[in-house]
Amino acid sequence: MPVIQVPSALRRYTGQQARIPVAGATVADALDNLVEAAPEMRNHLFAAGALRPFVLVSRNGQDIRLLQGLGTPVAGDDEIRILASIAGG
Amino acid sequence: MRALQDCPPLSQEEARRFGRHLILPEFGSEGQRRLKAGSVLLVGVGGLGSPAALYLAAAGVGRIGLVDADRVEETNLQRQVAHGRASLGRPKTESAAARMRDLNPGVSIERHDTFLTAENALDLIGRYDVVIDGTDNFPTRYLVNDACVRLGKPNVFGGVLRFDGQLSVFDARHGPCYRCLFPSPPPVELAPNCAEAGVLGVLPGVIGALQATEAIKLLTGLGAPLIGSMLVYDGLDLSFDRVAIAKDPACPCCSRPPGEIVLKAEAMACAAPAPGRRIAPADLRARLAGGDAPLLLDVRNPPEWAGGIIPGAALLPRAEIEAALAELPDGAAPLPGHPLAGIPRDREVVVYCQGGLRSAAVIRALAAAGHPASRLLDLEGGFSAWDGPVARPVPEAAG
Ligand SMILES: [Zn+2]
Repeated sequence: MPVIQVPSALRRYTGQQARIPVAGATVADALDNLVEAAPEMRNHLFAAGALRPFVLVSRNGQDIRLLQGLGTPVAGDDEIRILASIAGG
Repeated sequence: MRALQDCPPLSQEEARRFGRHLILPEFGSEGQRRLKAGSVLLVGVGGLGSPAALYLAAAGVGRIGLVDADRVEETNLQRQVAHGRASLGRPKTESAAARMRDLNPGVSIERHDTFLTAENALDLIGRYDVVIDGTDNFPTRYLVNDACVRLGKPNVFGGVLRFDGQLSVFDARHGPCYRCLFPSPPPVELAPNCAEAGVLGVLPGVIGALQATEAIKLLTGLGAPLIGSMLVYDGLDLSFDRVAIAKDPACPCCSRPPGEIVLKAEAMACAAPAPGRRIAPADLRARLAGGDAPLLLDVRNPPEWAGGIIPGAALLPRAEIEAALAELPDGAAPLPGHPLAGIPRDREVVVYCQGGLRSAAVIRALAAAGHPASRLLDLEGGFSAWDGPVARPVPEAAG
C-alpha cells in the first residue's frame, strides 16, 4: 500500500503520525483517503479541488507536476510526500 | 564563478590560515582565491544566518553583507549562535560582525541595519554574487526570490520549522525559482512561525551550515549545486530526502522577462479581511492612563510573556484560544469556567501578539465564533510597537 509522508507541521492533524499507509490508485485517491481520515487536513491541502499554492506533493522523490499531477498513478510501496512551505529562519 | 585571473593572490598569512582548504585537491589555492574575490549577502542574521555567517567568514569569503533590522533578544540565544548575552539589545548585524571579525579579520563585512524592502532589495542584492535567504517570514522570502530572478543571482534558500528543514538553490537562469514551487504564501492562519510553532535550536544550525556549503560551492564552482532539487530534512527521523523540482513554464515570476519583474511587498493573504478595529499604541496608552481601560488579551506564548506584558493583560496563547473555540458549539457563548469565559462579549477587548499576525488571526476566529467584531480591537504593530508601561507577568500559583 502506498504511504503518505506527513511533515511535522501537519502531524497535529494525524495524531502525530508521520507515515500513513493509504489505499488508492492515484495520488488524488490517496490524498482523498488521507483527508477522509484526517478531515482538518483538507483545508490545508486543497482549495476548490486543487492543491493549494503553498503545498507541494511528490511521488518517490519527484514533484507530481513533473509526472501526471494529482492523476499520477501510485502502487505497491510508493511514497507520497507532502511538503508544506515553511518560512522560519 | 569568477575567472581566476580576476581573483587576487593569497598572502602568506592567508595560505597558512586556509591550509586545510589548500590541501584539498578539488579546492586548492584556486578555490581559496575565488572565495576571497567572492561576495555573499545574508538576508537575516537569525537562526539560519548565524551559522552561515560564521562559517562563511571562517572559510575566507572576501566580502559578506548582513541585512537585519532586529536587535538581539534573550529568546534568540536558543539557536542564534552568532550572538551572545553580551550583545543583548544590540543590533544583530553588529553582534554577528564582531564574531565574524574575531574568526577572520581579513573578511570585509558590510552591515545593513534595515529590513529588506521592495525599495532597497535590488540595490542591496545587486552588490553581491550569492544571496543566502535566512529570513523568518514569507513576504521577505518572496521579495528575495523576485529580486534574485530579476538580477540573475543565485538564491540559497533555507527554511526551518519545528523539526523540519528545507534547502534548495534557486537560480532561475538554470532551474526553478521559489515561486515555481510555491506561487504564493499561505494565509496567516495556516502559516505558523517559529515563535508560535517552535523550532529545535540546532535545526537552523543544520540547514544554515548547508546553505553556507552551497554558497561556497557556487563561488568556487565545486561540485553540483542543489539546483532543481529540494532537500527535505526531518530531524525526528534523521532523514534527508531529495525531491526533484522543475521550472514552471507558467511561473508568475521567472516565466517573464527579468526586466518586467516588479518588486512589491507580498502581503500575507488572509482568508477574509480582518474584522474588528485597530487601535494605535498611543491611543491605547491614553485610554489606560485615563481610566477608560478595555480588557487586554495577550495571545503570545508563555516564553514571550517573560519578556514583559502590557500591565493588566489576560494571558491566553492563540493556540489555546483556537483549540477552545473548536470545542465550542457553533455560535454558543462560553459558559463560566470555560477558558474563553474570561473574554467578555459586552466589553471592548484589545488583542495583541508580538507583531500583529496572531492577534489578527485570533480576532478573526473570535468573530467567526460569534464574538461581536465591533468590540474587538487589534493593537497596531503588536507588543513590538508598544511604547507604554510594561509589567512582569504574575507567575501562576503553584499547585
Ligand atoms: Zn519561477
